[in-house]
Amino acid sequence: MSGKLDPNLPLKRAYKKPEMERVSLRPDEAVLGHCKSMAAAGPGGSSTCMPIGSCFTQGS
Amino acid sequence: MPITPVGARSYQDFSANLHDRMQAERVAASATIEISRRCPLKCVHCYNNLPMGDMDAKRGELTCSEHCRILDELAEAGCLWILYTGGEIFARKDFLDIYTYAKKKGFLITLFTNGTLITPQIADYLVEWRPFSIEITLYGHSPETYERLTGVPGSYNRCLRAIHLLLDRELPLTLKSVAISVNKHEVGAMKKFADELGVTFKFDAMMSPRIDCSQSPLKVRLQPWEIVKMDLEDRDRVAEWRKFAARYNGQMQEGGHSDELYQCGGGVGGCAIDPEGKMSICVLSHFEGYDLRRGNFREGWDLFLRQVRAKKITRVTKCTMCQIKPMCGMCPANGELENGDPEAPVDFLCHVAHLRAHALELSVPAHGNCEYCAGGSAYGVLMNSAESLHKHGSEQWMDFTDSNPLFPILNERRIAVGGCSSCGL
Repeated sequence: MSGKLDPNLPLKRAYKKPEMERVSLRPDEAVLGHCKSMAAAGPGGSSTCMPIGSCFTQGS
Repeated sequence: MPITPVGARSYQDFSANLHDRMQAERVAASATIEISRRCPLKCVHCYNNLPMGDMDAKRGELTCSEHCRILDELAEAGCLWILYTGGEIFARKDFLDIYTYAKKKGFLITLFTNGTLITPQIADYLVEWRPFSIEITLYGHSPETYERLTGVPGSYNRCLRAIHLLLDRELPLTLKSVAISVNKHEVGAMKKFADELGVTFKFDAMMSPRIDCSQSPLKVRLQPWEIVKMDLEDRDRVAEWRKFAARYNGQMQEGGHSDELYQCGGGVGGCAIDPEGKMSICVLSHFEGYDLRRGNFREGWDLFLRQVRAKKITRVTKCTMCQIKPMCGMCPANGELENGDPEAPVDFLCHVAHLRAHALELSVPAHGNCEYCAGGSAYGVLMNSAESLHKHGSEQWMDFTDSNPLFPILNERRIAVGGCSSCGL
């Protein structure tokens, strides 16, 4: 064994202990909107197939 | 060993962060599943409803076990958010079986419903298996208007009953409406009703033709000036449009237009699955689909939808370099439904977007041969209308008929003459 790193092997990420965060499921904080509610409430409410690359389900 | 939470994060932060990460890797974060096209209502504007007793439709719907298999595949693919919609979701007697399976898988589930089939037992069940969100569509504030739209006597009371059943149980409810010619005069009253209940209200005036090629919804679609006037009557809505325009308009670079046909999130962040198990890029797009009865979600997402999503435009149109495109809503699905061509600009959407932009005094740079831009055939008419809206738009809604003197030259009612291609006719 040469002790040298094999350049073909992928580098491992350093271990990070899993942590749990609590998230309250608040639909009023949903950031994105629905295909079926095109432009509902204007763009800020639940807009739909927005040209930012996302078409999202309600409340997601 | 149990893990103790180290902290709390807002849902907004959690959702935005997760969407960014999932989209970057093209993970299907969300799916819209149409449970059935059958519905107890006969709404004049609906894009897809079928009668409750339509046995062909019923026989063709995915079985409960097929739904469960697809849910397994969605979960494995990393999907987190599910929207159940229709038709009417409770048209299926086994919907709660499907829903419960999805809840047990850990999905965050939103339910769209007209509420008319919700019973106390269903409401109690939803307390035990709480959805992330429920949206009920209000079709009018008065029984007369509501039932004129739905075509079903007694439906108004059943809807109201559902609203109270859900609110009494503190379930997460949002109310919304569609603004069409039949009920436009009651949108304000519906909003007030929702405010009194302490519930969010939103409305949408952008009707599409039916997916079976019928243009009937367009007969009740509001005219562009009516839609923009409804915006202007609501200060919050105006503020949101300005914020939206500031953030998203003007992104097209000179000479650097995108050659991608699809510029939404369909096929990147999510997809739609129809009642027969056909997977497509979104609920309005029926041009191409992948049969989940014959294949599996992973293959449909990784191969089929990836190919659909990668499609390029075949020609440059007035939409290609339009700087207010974010405000328009033009997309291949709308092009298919209104014109039978995913790339053909939809005149109605173009008209509304330009009128809205001018009424809000937003910049509309030239973007090709557009009749609603300077030099275009409809520009003069549009600007007159925009000026009138700018002066009078915030006045409360009156009975604007087609002969209203404020908008004498905007009474032209354009009905799309193209057909969709979903049935190949």
